[in-house]
This record gives sequence, structure tokens and C-alpha cells, in this order.
Amino acid sequence: MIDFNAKLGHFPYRPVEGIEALLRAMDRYGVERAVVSSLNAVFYLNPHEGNIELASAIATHCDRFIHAAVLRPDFTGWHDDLRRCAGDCGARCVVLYPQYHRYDLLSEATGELVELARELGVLVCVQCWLEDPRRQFNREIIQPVAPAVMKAFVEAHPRTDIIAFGLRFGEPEMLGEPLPRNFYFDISNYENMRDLELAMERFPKERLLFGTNFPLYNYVANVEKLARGNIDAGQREAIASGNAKRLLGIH
Amino acid sequence: MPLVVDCHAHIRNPDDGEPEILLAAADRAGVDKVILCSLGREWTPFPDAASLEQANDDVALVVNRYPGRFMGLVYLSADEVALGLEHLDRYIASGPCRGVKLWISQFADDPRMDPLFDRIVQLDVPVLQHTWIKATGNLEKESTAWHCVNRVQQHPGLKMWLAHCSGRWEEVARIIAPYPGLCLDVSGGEPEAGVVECLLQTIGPERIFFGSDVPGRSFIVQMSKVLSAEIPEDWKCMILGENIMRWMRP
Repeated sequence: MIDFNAKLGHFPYRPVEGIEALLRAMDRYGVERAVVSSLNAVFYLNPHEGNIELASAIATHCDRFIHAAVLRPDFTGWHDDLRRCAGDCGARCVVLYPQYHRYDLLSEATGELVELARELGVLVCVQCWLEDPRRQFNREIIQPVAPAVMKAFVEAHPRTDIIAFGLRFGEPEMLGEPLPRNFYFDISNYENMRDLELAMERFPKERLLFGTNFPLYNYVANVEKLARGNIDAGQREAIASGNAKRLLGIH
Repeated sequence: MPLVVDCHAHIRNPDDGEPEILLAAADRAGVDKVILCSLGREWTPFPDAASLEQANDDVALVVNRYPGRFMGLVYLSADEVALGLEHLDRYIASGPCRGVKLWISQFADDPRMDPLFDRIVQLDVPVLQHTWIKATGNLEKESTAWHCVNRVQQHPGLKMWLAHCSGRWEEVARIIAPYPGLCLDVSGGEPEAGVVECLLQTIGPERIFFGSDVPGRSFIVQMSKVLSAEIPEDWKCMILGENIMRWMRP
């Protein structure tokens, strides 16, 4: 299995687990590799500081972790940061947080970032929903990326594969049916009594990715969601790792 | 395998296969029994008498159809107290249901509910009270943990469990700790890490119940809050089913 959506770092609002807990969970549940981004980067003014920290933290685990950069297209020097992440850190993804970093996902600057990522062979991910707004106490509330905005973003970059993190049940289809050809989403926040079963009735199995949103979510949630979902073996394998391997170009 | 009892599940329409779909999902998740309520076929914050009649009739029908799998809760409203007293007798005293569900048509400590709680305590049945503390602002009459504290102070013999950890699991255990008649279910919301461990810092495992909030939520994702907790296995057994069965007394 490949966990396409894990994070490492501190969370300002409650204690969360770190790299050792992630590795233990991955070992316990048969997750060979995880795409990891910096959680610190979400809250740093210059998110690239978080990318550097992350690269150092996972340096001795390059067989288990795939670096995903977090960048702001409105922060001076982001072009160099992305090139360094792709080159020095081996980043295979860039994760965008337009709501937390307060920029327009549909802006020209974001478009430049998407283009450069594509040239560098870096996948573009958007963290649509990180935390439930109802639970964001004692601070300014960050709303999720609206599905309509995500739809416009995906349509604006048809040559780029774009992965949405944290979409809820009922949201992917708002991007269009059939789904745009360049659109994928992880299952971390996709929940319903029959979540994956209904997803497989509606979407091609190639579009879903196993993701956990570690450390904010417990690891068991999405492991068991996938293990017990009423789907066939081919669908399970595709979601568990096949789709991730194809997107990342790994075996 | 421990007995797994989901203390918080919903049904809308028993006539279109919903109970069977729910049971199939429960089986895949390893859930043995489900405590069921209905908020009506159309969810409205302030249900009228007809909606309440339909809701409770639907739950009783499902419980009677699958007595080994479902236990029922009677849905009440402060806007229909006389009807509620009748339903407590019809569906609990003389019927198949074993508890009460309260949602958002009144705060838990609404004095209009006093006669209903008098009868609930007399019948010695538990109450599932919807609660949330929302950073985005609660609904008009959406109860918080504090409303439940007020209620249990007025009715000391009451057994009530707060749904959804009242939405603020970091704090709710401290709020209810002095009141042994109050317990929590962990249903609903995202599968955040550390929920159960946090609750156990303040209250014992006997006061925590597994619930899912299906069908909008997933049995197994919500169960993961318990399964993932780094706590003794016997505590997990308590939370997964033993605790609520003590209260439901089927």
C-alpha cells in the first residue's frame, strides 16, 4: 500500500504523533511507502522552511517516504524553492493550501506554479479539507476549498494531473461526471456508510488514492475503510497502491 | 471478538431496504447490534406530531423485524410533550424500544421537557442527546454539554449519553466528569487521532460508548477511534459494546 497523504510536523492546536508513530503504523498495516509533506509548512509564513525540515527528518528513510513540497505561489522565490524541492529533496508532489495560505487557487501565480511543477515532473495536490471548521476553536476559521473552485482549477490545467486531498463524500462528482480526466482524489476524508462501494459505482477505480491524513486522523480509519469496503480485489489494489504507483512512476 | 454495539445510528425509511442495507454494512464492519433512531423521513429541526408518529413507528417496525440486531430509541420533542408521554408508554413501557433520542428542537434543559424526563427516569431508560459545541456557531436549539449538565442536575436519576463528544472532545470529559449519569459517544465527526485517549484522561472507560452516526458516517471509520486507541483491550471491549448494553438492558 502507498499512503498518498501523510504529514509530519507539529499541529498548533493539539499534540500529534511524529515520524516514529507513522513508521510503526505503516509497518503494522502493510503500508510500504508514504507521500509525506510538512505539517509545519502549513503554518509557517515561508512554507519552504518546512520542506527543508522535512527533507532532513526523512533523509534516513528515503526507502519509505516520498517528499511532497508545500509552497505558496505568492511568496517571493517560490520558483527556486520548487526546483530545489524537486532536485535536492526529490519531491514528487507539491501540496497547495490556498485557504490556509490565503491565495487564490485560480490566480495567474498559481497557474505558473502548476506549469513549473508539470515541467519538473512534480504532481500537484490540493489540500481541500484539512480540519473540520466546526472544530477550529478560538481562531479564525479556515473553510475548505469549495468544490466549484476545485472544478475550475482542474479544468484550467487539463495537461496536469491534479489530486485533491480531503474531499468529502458527495464532493468529487461536483467536479463533473464523468470526472475530469486529469483529476484524482484521496479517500482520507471520504466517508459514508457505503463510501467506497458507492464510489466504485460512480467513478473509475483509477481515480482514488489511499490516503490517511496522518497525524490528524488515526491511521486505522482509512486502512480499515479500504480493507472492509464492499469493493472487489482489483478496485482495492488500485486504490491501495496501483494508482499511486502509476502517478508517481514507481513500481 | 468482543460484542460490538453501535449506540448511534439513523434510519429514514424502512420501506425501501434501508434496514437491510444498514445490516449488511454492519456485518462487514463487525457490528453485532445497532441502536436505532429516526429523525423522521424528512429531517426537520422542529418535527410536528405526524413526523414524530412516523419516526417512532418506523423504528418500532424495524426493531420488531430484526429484534436480535436492532434496539430502538423513541424520538421526542418539547413541542409535543403530550404526544411524547404517550409515545413513552406506547413504544417503551408497552413497546419494543429501550431508550430516547433527543435532537435539536429544544435544549436538553428546556423546562417544557420536565414531564418527559420525569417519566424517562421512572421508566429507567437512557437518553441519547445530540450535542455539539461548534466553532462555527450552534443551531438555534442545539444542545451543548452544559445543557446536559443542567438537565442531570434537575433529574439526578437520569442516564444520558452525549452524542459526538459534544464536538469538543478535548474538553467535554472535564465538563461531565462530576456527573456519573452522563456518558459520551464518539460518533460522528472526523476520525481524529487521540480522541479516546484524551477522554480517558478525565473519565473512566465505563463512560464512553462506540457510536457511528450512520448512514452519513461509516461504521468502521468511527469504530477506528476505539480500535486505534492505545488502551487496554478490556477497555476497548467496554467501549465497543459492554457499556451501552448495561444501560440498554435488552
